[in-house]
Amino acid sequence: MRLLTPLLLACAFLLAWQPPVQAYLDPGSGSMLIQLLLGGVAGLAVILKLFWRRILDILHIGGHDRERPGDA
Amino acid sequence: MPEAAVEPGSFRDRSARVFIQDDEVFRGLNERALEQWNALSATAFFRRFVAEGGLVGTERLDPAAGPVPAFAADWAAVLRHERIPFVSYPYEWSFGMLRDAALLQLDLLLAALDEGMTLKDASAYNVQWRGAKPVFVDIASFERRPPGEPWIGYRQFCQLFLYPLLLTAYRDIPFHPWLRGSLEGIDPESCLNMLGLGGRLRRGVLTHVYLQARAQAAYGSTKRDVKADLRAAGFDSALIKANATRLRKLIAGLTWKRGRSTWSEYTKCGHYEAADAEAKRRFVGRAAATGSRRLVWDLGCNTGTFSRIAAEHASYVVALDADHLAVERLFQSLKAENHTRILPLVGNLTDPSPDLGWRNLERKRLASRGRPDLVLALALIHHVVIGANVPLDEFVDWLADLGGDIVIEFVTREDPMVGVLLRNKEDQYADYQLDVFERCLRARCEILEREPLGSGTRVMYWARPRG
Repeated sequence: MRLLTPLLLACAFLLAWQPPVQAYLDPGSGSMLIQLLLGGVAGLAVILKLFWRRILDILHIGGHDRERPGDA
Repeated sequence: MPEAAVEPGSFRDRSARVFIQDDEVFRGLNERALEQWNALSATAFFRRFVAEGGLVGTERLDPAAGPVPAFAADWAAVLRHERIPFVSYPYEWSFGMLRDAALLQLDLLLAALDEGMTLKDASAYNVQWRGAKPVFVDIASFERRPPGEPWIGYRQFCQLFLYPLLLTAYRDIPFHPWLRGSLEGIDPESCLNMLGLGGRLRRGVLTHVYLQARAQAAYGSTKRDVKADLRAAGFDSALIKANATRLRKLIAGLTWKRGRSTWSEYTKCGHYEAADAEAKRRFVGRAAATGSRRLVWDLGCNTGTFSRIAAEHASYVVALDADHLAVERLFQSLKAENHTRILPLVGNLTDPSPDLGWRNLERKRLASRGRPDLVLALALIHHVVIGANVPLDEFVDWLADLGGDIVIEFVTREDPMVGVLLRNKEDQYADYQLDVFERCLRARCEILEREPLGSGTRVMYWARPRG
Protein backbone atom coordinates (compact mmCIF):
# COMPACT_ATOMS: atom_id res chain seq x y z
CA MET A 1 0.00 0.00 0.00
CA ARG A 2 2.89 2.29 0.86
CA LEU A 3 4.20 1.75 -2.66
CA LEU A 4 0.85 2.19 -4.42
CA THR A 5 0.52 5.96 -4.10
CA PRO A 6 3.90 6.91 -5.64
CA LEU A 7 3.36 4.24 -8.31
CA LEU A 8 -0.01 5.73 -9.30
CA LEU A 9 1.47 9.21 -9.27
CA ALA A 10 4.33 8.07 -11.51
CA CYS A 11 1.87 6.43 -13.93
CA ALA A 12 -0.28 9.56 -14.06
CA PHE A 13 2.82 11.65 -14.69
CA LEU A 14 4.01 9.37 -17.49
CA LEU A 15 0.60 9.36 -19.14
CA ALA A 16 0.37 13.13 -18.98
CA TRP A 17 3.80 13.55 -20.51
CA GLN A 18 3.65 13.48 -24.30
CA PRO A 19 6.96 12.35 -25.78
CA PRO A 20 8.16 14.95 -28.27
CA VAL A 21 7.56 13.78 -31.84
CA GLN A 22 10.65 14.40 -33.94
CA ALA A 23 10.24 15.64 -37.50
CA TYR A 24 12.08 13.93 -40.38
CA LEU A 25 13.01 17.40 -41.64
CA ASP A 26 15.59 19.49 -39.78
CA PRO A 27 13.84 22.80 -39.27
CA GLY A 28 17.11 24.63 -38.44
CA SER A 29 17.57 26.15 -34.98
CA GLY A 30 18.03 29.66 -36.32
CA SER A 31 15.01 29.32 -38.59
CA MET A 32 12.88 28.26 -35.63
CA LEU A 33 14.05 31.17 -33.48
CA ILE A 34 13.46 33.71 -36.25
CA GLN A 35 9.82 32.67 -36.27
CA LEU A 36 9.45 34.47 -32.94
CA LEU A 37 10.20 37.76 -34.68
CA LEU A 38 7.79 36.93 -37.48
CA GLY A 39 4.95 35.98 -35.16
CA GLY A 40 3.84 39.53 -34.37
CA VAL A 41 2.70 40.49 -30.86
CA ALA A 42 2.24 36.84 -29.87
CA GLY A 43 5.90 36.29 -30.75
CA LEU A 44 7.01 39.13 -28.49
CA ALA A 45 5.34 37.54 -25.48
CA VAL A 46 7.11 34.23 -26.18
CA ILE A 47 10.46 36.01 -26.59
CA LEU A 48 10.07 37.67 -23.20
CA LYS A 49 9.15 34.37 -21.62
CA LEU A 50 12.06 32.62 -23.30
CA PHE A 51 14.53 35.22 -21.99
CA TRP A 52 12.99 35.17 -18.55
CA ARG A 53 13.39 31.40 -18.41
CA ARG A 54 17.01 31.68 -19.49
CA ILE A 55 17.70 34.23 -16.74
CA LEU A 56 16.11 31.90 -14.22
CA ASP A 57 18.19 29.06 -15.67
CA ILE A 58 21.39 31.06 -15.24
CA LEU A 59 20.47 31.99 -11.68
CA HIS A 60 19.41 28.39 -10.99
CA ILE A 61 15.97 29.56 -9.86
CA GLY A 62 12.88 27.47 -10.55
CA GLY A 63 12.60 24.42 -12.85
CA HIS A 64 14.59 23.76 -15.97
CA ASP A 65 13.10 24.10 -19.46
CA ARG A 66 13.51 20.56 -20.50
CA GLU A 67 12.93 18.82 -17.25
CA ARG A 68 11.31 15.48 -17.88
CA PRO A 69 9.72 13.07 -15.42
CA GLY A 70 12.43 10.49 -15.96
CA ASP A 71 15.13 13.05 -15.02
CA ALA A 72 13.84 13.44 -11.49
CA MET B 1 -1.93 -8.22 -60.11
CA PRO B 2 1.50 -7.22 -61.48
CA GLU B 3 4.27 -6.17 -59.13
CA ALA B 4 4.03 -2.64 -57.77
CA ALA B 5 6.95 -0.31 -58.45
CA VAL B 6 8.23 1.83 -55.60
CA GLU B 7 8.35 5.50 -56.54
CA PRO B 8 12.06 6.13 -55.93
CA GLY B 9 11.56 9.80 -55.04
CA SER B 10 9.34 9.12 -52.02
CA PHE B 11 11.89 7.82 -49.52
CA ARG B 12 12.54 10.87 -47.37
CA ASP B 13 9.63 10.54 -44.97
CA ARG B 14 9.79 6.97 -43.68
CA SER B 15 6.20 6.99 -42.44
CA ALA B 16 4.82 6.54 -45.97
CA ARG B 17 5.90 5.37 -49.42
CA VAL B 18 4.44 5.80 -52.89
CA PHE B 19 3.90 2.84 -55.22
CA ILE B 20 2.80 2.72 -58.84
CA GLN B 21 0.84 -0.26 -60.09
CA ASP B 22 -1.30 -0.66 -63.19
CA ASP B 23 -1.01 3.08 -63.86
CA GLU B 24 -2.48 3.79 -60.43
CA VAL B 25 -0.80 5.65 -57.58
CA PHE B 26 -0.86 4.19 -54.07
CA ARG B 27 0.65 5.31 -50.78
CA GLY B 28 1.49 2.87 -48.02
CA LEU B 29 1.13 4.30 -44.50
CA ASN B 30 2.69 3.06 -41.26
CA GLU B 31 0.72 3.14 -37.98
CA ARG B 32 1.68 6.71 -37.18
CA ALA B 33 0.86 7.97 -40.67
CA LEU B 34 -2.46 6.12 -40.54
CA GLU B 35 -3.39 8.00 -37.36
CA GLN B 36 -2.57 11.27 -39.14
CA TRP B 37 -4.61 10.23 -42.17
CA ASN B 38 -7.59 9.45 -39.94
CA ALA B 39 -7.30 12.92 -38.40
CA LEU B 40 -6.86 14.62 -41.79
CA SER B 41 -9.74 12.85 -43.54
CA ALA B 42 -12.08 13.97 -40.75
CA THR B 43 -11.34 17.67 -41.27
CA ALA B 44 -13.53 20.10 -43.19
CA PHE B 45 -10.56 21.70 -44.99
CA PHE B 46 -9.49 18.37 -46.46
CA ARG B 47 -12.90 17.83 -48.06
CA ARG B 48 -13.03 21.46 -49.20
CA PHE B 49 -9.60 21.46 -50.86
CA VAL B 50 -10.19 18.09 -52.54
CA ALA B 51 -13.53 19.34 -53.91
CA GLU B 52 -11.90 22.56 -55.17
CA GLY B 53 -8.97 20.66 -56.72
CA GLY B 54 -6.19 22.01 -54.45
CA LEU B 55 -5.60 18.59 -52.87
CA VAL B 56 -5.16 15.36 -54.78
CA GLY B 57 -8.21 13.07 -54.70
CA THR B 58 -7.48 10.32 -52.17
CA GLU B 59 -9.29 7.32 -50.73
CA ARG B 60 -8.28 4.58 -48.34
CA LEU B 61 -8.28 1.10 -49.87
CA ASP B 62 -10.69 -1.22 -48.15
CA PRO B 63 -9.27 -4.78 -48.18
CA ALA B 64 -12.80 -6.12 -47.65
CA ALA B 65 -14.02 -4.45 -50.83
CA GLY B 66 -11.71 -6.23 -53.28
CA PRO B 67 -8.11 -7.26 -54.04
CA VAL B 68 -5.37 -5.00 -52.71
CA PRO B 69 -1.80 -4.72 -54.03
CA ALA B 70 0.65 -7.23 -52.54
CA PHE B 71 2.77 -4.49 -50.92
CA ALA B 72 -0.22 -3.58 -48.70
CA ALA B 73 0.80 -6.41 -46.36
CA ASP B 74 3.83 -4.33 -45.26
CA TRP B 75 1.79 -1.27 -44.33
CA ALA B 76 -0.89 -0.38 -41.80
CA ALA B 77 -3.05 1.06 -44.58
CA VAL B 78 -2.91 1.96 -48.25
CA LEU B 79 -4.28 5.08 -49.91
CA ARG B 80 -5.12 5.38 -53.58
CA HIS B 81 -4.51 8.77 -55.22
CA GLU B 82 -5.97 10.30 -58.30
CA ARG B 83 -3.29 10.18 -61.02
CA ILE B 84 -1.66 13.48 -62.01
CA PRO B 85 -1.42 13.54 -65.84
CA PHE B 86 2.26 14.54 -66.03
CA VAL B 87 4.77 15.09 -63.23
CA SER B 88 6.77 18.32 -63.31
CA TYR B 89 9.34 19.98 -61.06
CA PRO B 90 9.78 23.53 -59.74
CA TYR B 91 12.83 24.12 -61.95
CA GLU B 92 10.49 23.70 -64.93
CA TRP B 93 7.78 26.09 -63.75
CA SER B 94 7.33 29.71 -64.68
CA PHE B 95 7.44 32.49 -62.08
CA GLY B 96 3.63 32.59 -61.82
CA MET B 97 3.48 28.83 -61.38
CA LEU B 98 5.98 28.84 -58.52
CA ARG B 99 4.06 31.72 -56.94
CA ASP B 100 0.71 29.93 -57.19
CA ALA B 101 2.25 26.75 -55.80
CA ALA B 102 3.64 28.78 -52.86
CA LEU B 103 0.26 30.36 -52.19
CA LEU B 104 -1.43 26.94 -52.23
CA GLN B 105 1.13 25.65 -49.74
CA LEU B 106 0.43 28.59 -47.40
CA ASP B 107 -3.35 28.32 -47.80
CA LEU B 108 -3.19 24.65 -46.88
CA LEU B 109 -1.00 25.41 -43.86
CA LEU B 110 -3.37 28.12 -42.62
CA ALA B 111 -6.43 25.94 -43.15
CA ALA B 112 -4.73 23.01 -41.40
CA LEU B 113 -3.74 25.16 -38.38
CA ASP B 114 -7.36 26.25 -37.98
CA GLU B 115 -8.27 22.61 -37.42
CA GLY B 116 -5.36 21.65 -35.16
CA MET B 117 -3.18 20.21 -37.90
CA THR B 118 -0.03 21.34 -39.69
CA LEU B 119 2.26 20.46 -42.60
CA LYS B 120 5.46 18.78 -41.48
CA ASP B 121 7.40 19.99 -44.51
CA ALA B 122 7.10 22.62 -47.24
CA SER B 123 8.69 21.07 -50.30
CA ALA B 124 7.81 22.61 -53.65
CA TYR B 125 8.02 19.06 -55.04
CA ASN B 126 4.82 18.26 -53.15
CA VAL B 127 2.90 20.42 -55.61
CA GLN B 128 1.93 19.17 -59.05
CA TRP B 129 -0.34 20.54 -61.77
CA ARG B 130 -3.57 19.83 -63.56
CA GLY B 131 -2.92 22.18 -66.44
CA ALA B 132 -2.64 25.65 -64.92
CA LYS B 133 -4.08 24.60 -61.56
CA PRO B 134 -1.76 23.56 -58.72
CA VAL B 135 -2.52 20.38 -56.75
CA PHE B 136 -0.90 19.40 -53.48
CA VAL B 137 -0.11 15.69 -53.66
CA ASP B 138 1.75 14.68 -50.50
CA ILE B 139 -1.14 13.72 -48.24
CA ALA B 140 1.30 12.22 -45.70
CA SER B 141 2.69 15.72 -45.02
CA PHE B 142 -0.31 16.57 -42.87
CA GLU B 143 -0.13 15.79 -39.18
CA ARG B 144 -1.74 16.88 -35.95
CA ARG B 145 0.29 19.79 -34.70
CA PRO B 146 2.28 18.83 -31.61
CA PRO B 147 1.61 21.49 -28.94
CA GLY B 148 4.21 24.24 -28.86
CA GLU B 149 5.87 23.25 -32.12
CA PRO B 150 7.04 25.98 -34.52
CA TRP B 151 6.58 25.74 -38.30
CA ILE B 152 9.01 22.93 -39.14
CA GLY B 153 8.82 23.61 -42.88
CA TYR B 154 9.55 27.35 -42.67
CA ARG B 155 13.19 27.14 -43.73
CA GLN B 156 12.33 24.71 -46.53
CA PHE B 157 9.52 27.01 -47.68
CA CYS B 158 11.98 29.89 -47.92
CA GLN B 159 14.61 27.86 -49.76
CA LEU B 160 12.28 26.29 -52.31
CA PHE B 161 9.61 28.96 -52.75
CA LEU B 162 10.34 32.37 -51.29
CA TYR B 163 13.99 32.87 -52.23
CA PRO B 164 13.60 31.77 -55.87
CA LEU B 165 10.63 34.11 -56.21
CA LEU B 166 12.47 37.02 -54.56
CA LEU B 167 15.49 36.59 -56.84
CA THR B 168 13.35 36.69 -59.97
CA ALA B 169 11.07 39.49 -58.77
CA TYR B 170 13.77 41.75 -57.29
CA ARG B 171 16.85 40.96 -59.38
CA ASP B 172 15.51 39.29 -62.54
CA ILE B 173 17.66 36.25 -61.75
CA PRO B 174 15.98 33.13 -63.19
CA PHE B 175 15.47 30.57 -60.44
CA HIS B 176 15.52 27.49 -62.72
CA PRO B 177 19.27 26.78 -62.77
CA TRP B 178 19.47 27.34 -59.00
CA LEU B 179 16.63 24.93 -58.21
CA ARG B 180 17.93 22.41 -60.71
CA GLY B 181 21.40 22.77 -59.19
CA SER B 182 20.23 21.99 -55.67
CA LEU B 183 17.17 19.97 -54.75
CA GLU B 184 17.24 21.58 -51.29
CA GLY B 185 16.77 24.99 -52.86
CA ILE B 186 18.67 28.22 -52.28
CA ASP B 187 20.20 28.71 -48.82
CA PRO B 188 19.67 32.06 -47.05
CA GLU B 189 23.33 33.13 -47.31
CA SER B 190 23.50 32.56 -51.09
CA CYS B 191 20.17 34.31 -51.56
CA LEU B 192 21.43 37.29 -49.58
CA ASN B 193 24.60 37.51 -51.65
CA MET B 194 22.65 37.40 -54.89
CA LEU B 195 20.17 40.03 -53.74
CA GLY B 196 23.08 42.39 -53.05
CA LEU B 197 23.08 45.47 -50.87
CA GLY B 198 20.20 47.17 -52.67
CA GLY B 199 18.10 44.03 -52.45
CA ARG B 200 18.34 44.05 -48.65
CA LEU B 201 16.05 47.06 -48.53
CA ARG B 202 13.28 45.31 -50.45
CA ARG B 203 10.19 44.00 -48.74
CA GLY B 204 10.63 40.70 -46.90
CA VAL B 205 14.39 40.51 -47.33
CA LEU B 206 15.48 41.86 -43.93
CA THR B 207 13.49 39.30 -41.97
CA HIS B 208 13.15 36.19 -44.15
CA VAL B 209 16.61 36.36 -45.72
CA TYR B 210 19.04 38.54 -43.75
CA LEU B 211 17.94 37.72 -40.22
CA GLN B 212 17.39 34.06 -41.05
CA ALA B 213 20.89 33.84 -42.52
CA ARG B 214 22.33 35.47 -39.39
CA ALA B 215 20.21 33.36 -37.02
CA GLN B 216 21.29 30.17 -38.78
CA ALA B 217 24.93 31.26 -38.55
CA ALA B 218 24.55 32.08 -34.85
CA TYR B 219 22.32 29.23 -33.68
CA GLY B 220 22.66 26.59 -36.40
CA SER B 221 25.00 24.48 -34.29
CA THR B 222 23.62 25.31 -30.85
CA LYS B 223 23.51 22.44 -28.39
CA ARG B 224 20.27 23.71 -26.86
CA ASP B 225 17.04 21.95 -27.74
CA VAL B 226 15.49 24.99 -29.36
CA LYS B 227 12.26 23.18 -30.10
CA ALA B 228 11.84 22.26 -26.45
CA ASP B 229 12.74 25.82 -25.37
CA LEU B 230 10.07 27.23 -27.65
CA ARG B 231 7.51 24.70 -26.47
CA ALA B 232 8.24 25.56 -22.85
CA ALA B 233 7.96 29.28 -23.59
CA GLY B 234 4.46 28.78 -25.04
CA PHE B 235 5.00 28.93 -28.82
CA ASP B 236 1.52 28.53 -30.26
CA SER B 237 -0.13 28.35 -33.63
CA ALA B 238 -0.99 32.08 -33.62
CA LEU B 239 2.69 32.80 -34.35
CA ILE B 240 2.74 30.46 -37.33
CA LYS B 241 -0.51 31.95 -38.62
CA ALA B 242 0.84 35.50 -38.32
CA ASN B 243 4.02 34.52 -40.20
CA ALA B 244 2.20 32.54 -42.89
CA THR B 245 -0.39 35.30 -43.40
CA ARG B 246 2.35 37.91 -43.89
CA LEU B 247 4.28 35.62 -46.20
CA ARG B 248 1.12 35.09 -48.22
CA LYS B 249 0.68 38.84 -48.63
CA LEU B 250 4.33 39.30 -49.56
CA ILE B 251 4.29 36.52 -52.18
CA ALA B 252 0.93 37.49 -53.68
CA GLY B 253 2.40 40.97 -54.26
CA LEU B 254 5.56 39.78 -56.04
CA THR B 255 5.69 40.41 -59.76
CA TRP B 256 8.26 39.72 -62.44
CA LYS B 257 8.67 42.92 -64.39
CA ARG B 258 10.60 41.70 -67.37
CA GLY B 259 10.32 43.35 -70.71
CA ARG B 260 9.84 41.66 -74.02
CA SER B 261 11.66 38.40 -74.48
CA THR B 262 12.95 37.11 -77.80
CA TRP B 263 10.25 34.57 -78.49
CA SER B 264 7.22 35.56 -76.48
CA GLU B 265 6.46 38.22 -79.09
CA TYR B 266 7.05 35.73 -81.87
CA THR B 267 3.46 35.16 -82.91
CA LYS B 268 2.73 38.89 -82.76
CA CYS B 269 5.65 39.89 -84.97
CA GLY B 270 4.19 38.63 -88.24
CA HIS B 271 6.80 35.98 -89.03
CA TYR B 272 4.03 34.01 -90.63
CA GLU B 273 1.88 35.07 -93.48
CA ALA B 274 -1.74 34.65 -92.48
CA ALA B 275 -2.26 31.89 -95.06
CA ASP B 276 0.76 29.94 -93.73
CA ALA B 277 -0.50 30.16 -90.18
CA GLU B 278 -3.95 28.94 -91.15
CA ALA B 279 -2.58 25.99 -93.17
CA LYS B 280 -0.34 25.09 -90.24
CA ARG B 281 -3.26 25.15 -87.81
CA ARG B 282 -5.28 22.86 -90.05
CA PHE B 283 -2.32 20.49 -90.48
CA VAL B 284 -1.76 20.21 -86.70
CA GLY B 285 -5.51 19.82 -86.13
CA ARG B 286 -5.68 16.86 -88.56
CA ALA B 287 -2.76 15.07 -86.89
CA ALA B 288 -4.05 15.72 -83.38
CA ALA B 289 -7.58 14.55 -84.21
CA THR B 290 -6.41 11.16 -85.52
CA GLY B 291 -6.78 8.29 -83.06
CA SER B 292 -7.08 8.93 -79.36
CA ARG B 293 -4.18 11.11 -78.28
CA ARG B 294 -3.47 10.67 -74.59
CA LEU B 295 -0.36 12.81 -74.26
CA VAL B 296 0.97 15.42 -76.69
CA TRP B 297 4.27 17.25 -76.32
CA ASP B 298 4.49 20.64 -77.98
CA LEU B 299 8.23 21.35 -78.12
CA GLY B 300 9.09 25.01 -78.59
CA CYS B 301 5.48 25.90 -77.84
CA ASN B 302 6.09 29.68 -77.60
CA THR B 303 2.77 31.16 -76.40
CA GLY B 304 0.88 27.92 -77.00
CA THR B 305 -1.15 28.47 -80.21
CA PHE B 306 -0.64 24.88 -81.35
CA SER B 307 -0.81 23.43 -77.83
CA ARG B 308 -4.36 24.73 -77.72
CA ILE B 309 -5.22 23.11 -81.06
CA ALA B 310 -3.77 19.81 -79.85
CA ALA B 311 -5.69 20.11 -76.57
CA GLU B 312 -8.96 20.22 -78.50
CA HIS B 313 -8.36 16.56 -79.34
CA ALA B 314 -5.85 15.18 -76.83
CA SER B 315 -6.33 14.30 -73.16
CA TYR B 316 -3.28 16.29 -72.04
CA VAL B 317 -0.65 18.52 -73.62
CA VAL B 318 2.79 19.33 -72.21
CA ALA B 319 3.85 22.67 -73.70
CA LEU B 320 7.60 23.20 -73.41
CA ASP B 321 9.66 26.25 -74.30
CA ALA B 322 13.08 27.54 -73.29
CA ASP B 323 11.73 31.11 -73.13
CA HIS B 324 10.59 31.72 -69.57
CA LEU B 325 8.50 34.76 -70.45
CA ALA B 326 6.64 32.93 -73.25
CA VAL B 327 5.78 30.14 -70.82
CA GLU B 328 4.75 32.64 -68.16
CA ARG B 329 2.38 34.32 -70.61
CA LEU B 330 0.95 30.97 -71.65
CA PHE B 331 0.47 30.03 -68.01
CA GLN B 332 -1.28 33.31 -67.17
CA SER B 333 -3.68 32.96 -70.11
CA LEU B 334 -4.43 29.31 -69.27
CA LYS B 335 -4.96 30.27 -65.66
CA ALA B 336 -7.41 33.00 -66.63
CA GLU B 337 -9.35 30.42 -68.66
CA ASN B 338 -9.15 27.85 -65.84
CA HIS B 339 -7.58 25.49 -68.38
CA THR B 340 -6.67 22.10 -66.94
CA ARG B 341 -5.36 20.16 -69.94
CA ILE B 342 -2.25 22.11 -71.01
CA LEU B 343 0.81 22.03 -68.74
CA PRO B 344 3.22 24.85 -69.60
CA LEU B 345 6.86 24.13 -68.72
CA VAL B 346 10.15 25.98 -69.07
CA GLY B 347 12.74 23.70 -70.65
CA ASN B 348 15.49 23.61 -73.21
CA LEU B 349 15.75 20.46 -75.33
CA THR B 350 19.49 20.82 -75.72
CA ASP B 351 19.99 21.36 -71.97
CA PRO B 352 17.13 19.20 -70.68
CA SER B 353 16.02 18.29 -67.16
CA PRO B 354 18.31 15.46 -66.05
CA ASP B 355 17.80 12.54 -63.67
CA LEU B 356 18.58 14.04 -60.27
CA GLY B 357 18.84 13.29 -56.57
CA TRP B 358 19.69 10.09 -54.72
CA ARG B 359 20.81 7.42 -57.20
CA ASN B 360 19.68 9.85 -59.91
CA LEU B 361 16.19 8.49 -59.39
CA GLU B 362 14.41 11.12 -57.32
CA ARG B 363 13.64 13.54 -60.15
CA LYS B 364 13.36 12.20 -63.66
CA ARG B 365 14.10 13.33 -67.18
CA LEU B 366 11.07 14.25 -69.27
CA ALA B 367 10.75 11.01 -71.27
CA SER B 368 10.77 8.91 -68.07
CA ARG B 369 7.66 10.71 -66.86
CA GLY B 370 5.40 9.68 -69.72
CA ARG B 371 6.02 9.21 -73.44
CA PRO B 372 3.96 11.23 -75.88
CA ASP B 373 1.82 9.68 -78.58
CA LEU B 374 2.20 12.86 -80.60
CA VAL B 375 5.09 15.33 -80.64
CA LEU B 376 4.84 18.78 -82.21
CA ALA B 377 8.16 20.30 -83.29
CA LEU B 378 7.08 23.42 -85.16
CA ALA B 379 9.65 25.95 -86.31
CA LEU B 380 12.10 24.32 -83.92
CA ILE B 381 14.58 22.32 -85.96
CA HIS B 382 16.70 25.32 -87.07
CA HIS B 383 17.18 26.33 -83.42
CA VAL B 384 18.30 22.82 -82.47
CA VAL B 385 20.54 22.15 -85.48
CA ILE B 386 21.94 25.61 -86.21
CA GLY B 387 21.37 27.39 -82.90
CA ALA B 388 22.58 24.54 -80.65
CA ASN B 389 24.81 22.61 -83.11
CA VAL B 390 22.95 19.29 -82.75
CA PRO B 391 23.49 17.05 -85.83
CA LEU B 392 20.27 16.92 -87.84
CA ASP B 393 20.11 13.10 -87.99
CA GLU B 394 20.51 12.88 -84.20
CA PHE B 395 17.60 15.23 -83.67
CA VAL B 396 15.35 13.22 -86.01
CA ASP B 397 16.47 9.98 -84.31
CA TRP B 398 15.68 11.42 -80.89
CA LEU B 399 12.19 12.43 -82.01
CA ALA B 400 11.56 8.99 -83.54
CA ASP B 401 12.82 7.24 -80.39
CA LEU B 402 10.06 8.92 -78.40
CA GLY B 403 7.78 6.52 -80.23
CA GLY B 404 4.79 8.71 -81.00
CA ASP B 405 3.66 10.44 -84.17
CA ILE B 406 5.71 13.49 -85.13
CA VAL B 407 4.46 16.72 -86.64
CA ILE B 408 7.52 18.68 -87.68
CA GLU B 409 7.99 21.86 -89.62
CA PHE B 410 11.20 22.16 -91.62
CA VAL B 411 12.39 25.73 -92.03
CA THR B 412 14.55 26.00 -95.15
CA ARG B 413 17.76 27.98 -95.50
CA GLU B 414 15.90 30.60 -97.53
CA ASP B 415 13.76 31.51 -94.50
CA PRO B 416 14.77 34.83 -92.86
CA MET B 417 14.79 33.19 -89.40
CA VAL B 418 17.53 30.80 -90.52
CA GLY B 419 19.42 33.80 -91.86
CA VAL B 420 19.26 35.42 -88.41
CA LEU B 421 20.68 32.29 -86.78
CA LEU B 422 23.53 32.07 -89.29
CA ARG B 423 24.35 35.78 -89.16
CA ASN B 424 27.23 35.49 -86.68
CA LYS B 425 28.15 31.86 -87.08
CA GLU B 426 30.38 29.88 -89.35
CA ASP B 427 28.08 27.83 -91.58
CA GLN B 428 29.16 24.29 -90.71
CA TYR B 429 25.69 22.88 -91.21
CA ALA B 430 25.97 21.11 -94.54
CA ASP B 431 23.41 18.63 -93.23
CA TYR B 432 20.82 21.37 -92.84
CA GLN B 433 19.04 20.75 -96.15
CA LEU B 434 15.49 19.75 -96.92
CA ASP B 435 16.51 16.60 -98.85
CA VAL B 436 18.87 15.47 -96.05
CA PHE B 437 16.13 16.04 -93.51
CA GLU B 438 13.60 14.11 -95.54
CA ARG B 439 16.04 11.21 -95.99
CA CYS B 440 16.66 11.07 -92.23
CA LEU B 441 12.95 11.16 -91.51
CA ARG B 442 12.14 8.43 -94.04
CA ALA B 443 14.92 6.23 -92.61
CA ARG B 444 13.05 6.07 -89.29
CA CYS B 445 9.45 6.93 -90.08
CA GLU B 446 6.62 6.55 -92.49
CA ILE B 447 5.60 9.97 -93.77
CA LEU B 448 1.82 10.22 -93.54
CA GLU B 449 1.45 13.74 -94.87
CA ARG B 450 3.69 16.42 -96.37
CA GLU B 451 2.60 19.98 -97.10
CA PRO B 452 4.77 22.89 -98.25
CA LEU B 453 3.45 26.15 -96.81
CA GLY B 454 2.57 29.05 -99.08
CA SER B 455 5.60 31.15 -98.11
CA GLY B 456 7.81 28.58 -99.83
CA THR B 457 10.38 28.42 -97.04
CA ARG B 458 8.61 25.99 -94.73
CA VAL B 459 7.41 22.40 -95.16
CA MET B 460 5.14 20.51 -92.77
CA TYR B 461 5.52 16.76 -92.15
CA TRP B 462 3.41 14.28 -90.24
CA ALA B 463 5.44 11.13 -89.66
CA ARG B 464 5.02 7.88 -87.74
CA PRO B 465 8.07 5.95 -86.44
CA ARG B 466 8.31 2.39 -87.71
CA GLY B 467 8.24 -0.57 -85.29
